[in-house]
Amino acid sequence: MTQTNRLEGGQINRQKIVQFAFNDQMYNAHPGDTLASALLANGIKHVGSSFKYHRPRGIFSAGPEEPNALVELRRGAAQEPNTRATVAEVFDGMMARSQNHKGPLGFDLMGVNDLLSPFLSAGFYYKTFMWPKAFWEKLYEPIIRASAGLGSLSGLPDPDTYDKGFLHADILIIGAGPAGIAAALQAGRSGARVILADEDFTPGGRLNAENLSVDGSQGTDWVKASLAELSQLDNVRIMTRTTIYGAYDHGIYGALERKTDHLAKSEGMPRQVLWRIYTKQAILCAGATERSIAFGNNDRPGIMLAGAVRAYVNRWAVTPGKRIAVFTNNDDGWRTATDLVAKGVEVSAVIDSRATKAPTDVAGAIVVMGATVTNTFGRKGIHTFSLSNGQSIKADCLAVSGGWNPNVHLTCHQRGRPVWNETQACFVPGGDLPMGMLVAGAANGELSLGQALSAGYATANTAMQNLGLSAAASNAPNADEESTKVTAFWHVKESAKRCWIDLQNDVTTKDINVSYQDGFRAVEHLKRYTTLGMATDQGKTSNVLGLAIMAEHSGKTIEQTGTTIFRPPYTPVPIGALAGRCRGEDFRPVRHTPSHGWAEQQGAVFVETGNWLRAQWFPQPGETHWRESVDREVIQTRESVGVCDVSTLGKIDVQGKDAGEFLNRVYANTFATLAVGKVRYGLMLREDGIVMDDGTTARMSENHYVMTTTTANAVSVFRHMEFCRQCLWPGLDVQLISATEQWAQFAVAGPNARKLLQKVVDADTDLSNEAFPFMACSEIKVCGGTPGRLFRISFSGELAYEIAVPTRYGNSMMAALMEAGEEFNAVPYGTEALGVMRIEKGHAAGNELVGQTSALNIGLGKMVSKKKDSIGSKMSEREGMNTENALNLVGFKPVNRDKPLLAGAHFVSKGAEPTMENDEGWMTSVAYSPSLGHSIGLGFIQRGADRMGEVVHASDQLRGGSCDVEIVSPHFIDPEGERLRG
Amino acid sequence: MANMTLQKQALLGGYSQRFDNTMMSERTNLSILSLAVPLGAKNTVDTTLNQQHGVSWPDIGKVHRSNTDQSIWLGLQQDQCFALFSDLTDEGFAQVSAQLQAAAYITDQSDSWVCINIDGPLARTALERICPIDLHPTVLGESCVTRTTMEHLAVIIHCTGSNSFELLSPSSSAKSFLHALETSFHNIA
Repeated sequence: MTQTNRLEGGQINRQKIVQFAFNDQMYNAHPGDTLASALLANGIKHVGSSFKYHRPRGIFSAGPEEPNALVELRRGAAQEPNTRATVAEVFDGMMARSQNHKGPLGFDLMGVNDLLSPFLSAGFYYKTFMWPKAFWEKLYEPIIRASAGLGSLSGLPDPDTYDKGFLHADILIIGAGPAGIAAALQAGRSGARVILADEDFTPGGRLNAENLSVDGSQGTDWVKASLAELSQLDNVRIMTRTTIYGAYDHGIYGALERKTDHLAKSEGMPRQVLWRIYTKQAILCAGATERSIAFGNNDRPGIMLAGAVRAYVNRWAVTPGKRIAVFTNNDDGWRTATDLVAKGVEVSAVIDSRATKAPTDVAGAIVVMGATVTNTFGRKGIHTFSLSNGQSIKADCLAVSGGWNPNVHLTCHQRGRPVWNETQACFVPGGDLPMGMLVAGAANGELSLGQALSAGYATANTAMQNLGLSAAASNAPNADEESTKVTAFWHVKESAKRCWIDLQNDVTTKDINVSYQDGFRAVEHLKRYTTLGMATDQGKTSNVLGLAIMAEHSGKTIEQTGTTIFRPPYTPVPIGALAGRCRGEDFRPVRHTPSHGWAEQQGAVFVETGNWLRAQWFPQPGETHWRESVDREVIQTRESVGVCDVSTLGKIDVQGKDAGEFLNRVYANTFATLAVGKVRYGLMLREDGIVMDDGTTARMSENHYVMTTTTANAVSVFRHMEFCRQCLWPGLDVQLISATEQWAQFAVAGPNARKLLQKVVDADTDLSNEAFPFMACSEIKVCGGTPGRLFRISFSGELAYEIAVPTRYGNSMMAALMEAGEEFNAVPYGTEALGVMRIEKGHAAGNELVGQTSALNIGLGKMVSKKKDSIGSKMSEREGMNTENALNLVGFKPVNRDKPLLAGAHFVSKGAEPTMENDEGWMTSVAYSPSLGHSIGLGFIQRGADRMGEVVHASDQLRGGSCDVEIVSPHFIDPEGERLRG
Repeated sequence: MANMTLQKQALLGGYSQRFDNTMMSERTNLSILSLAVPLGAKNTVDTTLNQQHGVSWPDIGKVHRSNTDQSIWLGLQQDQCFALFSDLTDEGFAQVSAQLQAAAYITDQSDSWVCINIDGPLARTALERICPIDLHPTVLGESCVTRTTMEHLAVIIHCTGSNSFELLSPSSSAKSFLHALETSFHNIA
């Protein structure tokens, strides 16, 4: 319970103690701690098992680059694996568990893998599991899959919610370290709209981890004062706990803001918000990540990055060990030693690979220049290490610094390539940056504090200039120049033990050697062959080390060897955050018909048709099967009258002096000659002559047409017509607007349709057959003055009308129609009955207009006018579309009337084998016809129109419902059309 | 004819809800007329608008307010604008429409859109969760209008004040649109 490794100072709230559990053991921490700092404060070094060999691993870093300290956080449904302990804020009640071990962490049974390591090097799978072939799927793959992965999911639905959002800025500053804050101060003071985003919960970047001064003040005090000033500026938005994870096209950046991850409960609020940030300029101030040096057994708990050790000591007031040694190839590593001494921590030794003079004195420490660490000892935590000069030194923590790598990742998200800087031994951003991106500070190779501050300031001014804005008159913050001298040193060749490069994937120098020997020498091949740089850390601490060793093998320079492509995300983004609020019912919007409320009251069963929710049928008491409801609706409609909400059909208002000519060009048949007050069926073709859509168009006045489209194609037809209007024929006087949502429209069908309508349509409209014949239309008044429209059209084949009123009256209209129809035993019918009746009548619909069929195929070839030009008319004359063997839409009846037909069955001649060669067509739509008392179908078959009465075989190999069918007219009901004209 | 009268139904039942100090409500007294310019007749339409409503044709993205009848004119695209009228009867709307019909191609859009007003300091914060366009006053200031999408839905957004917006979205998906807005307010609470 005691924090044995806690020091004085730091940026933690000592006034408050929070408790957390690690592997079911309770510990104390303070607000401001990460899980990693809290574990170290309590003397916990061994926090997990490695991926492949299950070697004990400890905390390696102090930031998002952490390869080792991955834990399962929280319990139950909220459990999240692979959480980096180095960025997880401690909260009261936090529950964390180590992962990837069988049995207790201290006795991982899978540790046996380590003994087999000589056999498990790179390419092991590819080489070993080749034989016998049959074993791969049955034995090898299941075993490998069971062994793979680190943490585990709960398997329960994610209980948290997520959200998305959109932000806009003049300048997005990525990273609130010294460069980022300096840039934000200058841009903010100048009046630009600034977003300053940082992934940490405490802005300041490396200043939080250092004892450096800015403008004569302690660095952390300068950070606080700067943030206080920025927070007062309306034009600056500071976003902490926010990772800019990707740079996308046109100045768009992806950001993940962690809203409640630092709280015990989300309390119904979104856990994370995924932002899309649109910015004119971006300044990348993402800092740099320290890299290690590969030496024998350099993966033991207690071996850490030197900068991280310094961060734990300075920011979190935690010492990772009681006796710490430093192994470095650069001057920055020495600052770790001096900071430790300043905090009263014993430094046992400083080993520098450079055979030069020690840059500074470190009190009480053995200083060894020009030597290297060759091996370490202590399975669950280092206690001793040996040097190349044979010396053995005791230490319970070894701080390693191999130099710093600028975080160039976002500069490469649009395939930009970094360039190698020999002096600083690191990749820095290349010239091919994402649009509007500038880079400042350590991310640009400006590694000292003074350089970072002045670069942030100057880059902000450049961004302002690029935006055409004036920069405020102020000075760049000042700081002393600390030394960052480095001499590249990648690995200790004398080490006889395994030298680890990628701790997350258990990749060693030997694996790089094997990859080279096996011919996988390009960096992208190296990555795939060895798994170097994969998984959650994406090789942030290992990539450069790995490719430097590959460069040594190949005799190329590091720049020639190159890096793998950096792709978003920079750090992991939960799938839940990518989904945002679009889950379950919120996956997409729902469109309701105007009479939805009425239908709900009737107990309608609804079906999704696109985004629409439509009444499918209206069950009545006693009906136990949907067919009973649908059959009743069909019979009642055909015997008397039925009402169906058809508002979902697309409606396009076409107006203009050239509206008729416009319709002539988009429809295959003629419309300019349509009389006012009349409706005509229209067929629309694509450029290639294939049917695009069909529907009716009414001419309401000289220059005003109302087109209907199918429900499915309402948007695409409108878009097509707008393209024609704006791009093909801008000289025509025609205007379009969608009126789909404007009108509630109801089909009233059946022998008593006219009688019913006479009760709701105002008396000044004569509905007699003479005054309002088939295909008539008119503006009308209904129910005592409400404006409406009436069309005498029929989809069912019955005497039928479609009556429309403004949508706000739709629900009331449906009720009025049903009330008026009571004396006729009127029935509401849904989409199923609608479908049955259209099949009985032989109308083509979505199943027939599938983007492969022509006017000829659906039996409407003569509708394509030769007297005028229209889209698709010429192409429909192509020879291949007019062969003797062309498919025709016809009807089908089962020879055995008891057999149900199946849509999708393919036709073959009777007695022929059901093969592709013998395929003659397919069944498109089927229904049980209550009017005929058996199953019926529509379908395409070669020369169908000439084969009436022929029996063919409808083969359904998948479902086993094959049967013989007779080819008949597609018009099963009233083929002469007497009913609809009656 | 049976003795029946049709009842109007507000798409969201006249929704009104306060979120802290910001009000969100359905506007139910709105009549919307789409006007499209006949080819080459921009000046004629402009003259008619001036004579009948005391406004000029609004450029794209601009909003004109009539001092004559308080109607609002939204410039939506090159040849099209929306005219918004408050508290008109069906007869009154028909009359206005008939007068404009002589000069422009008009289409009743009153029932095509649900209209939701958001007024208060949380308006922008809530909208930034679903609105991809920049709502900063320097970009979409008062009397500016634009088209956008929110949660897959088409939206016409009209800035009516320093912290006020009028949103038009297709009527059939009105409930989904409201849900998206309510969720946004909930998520910023």
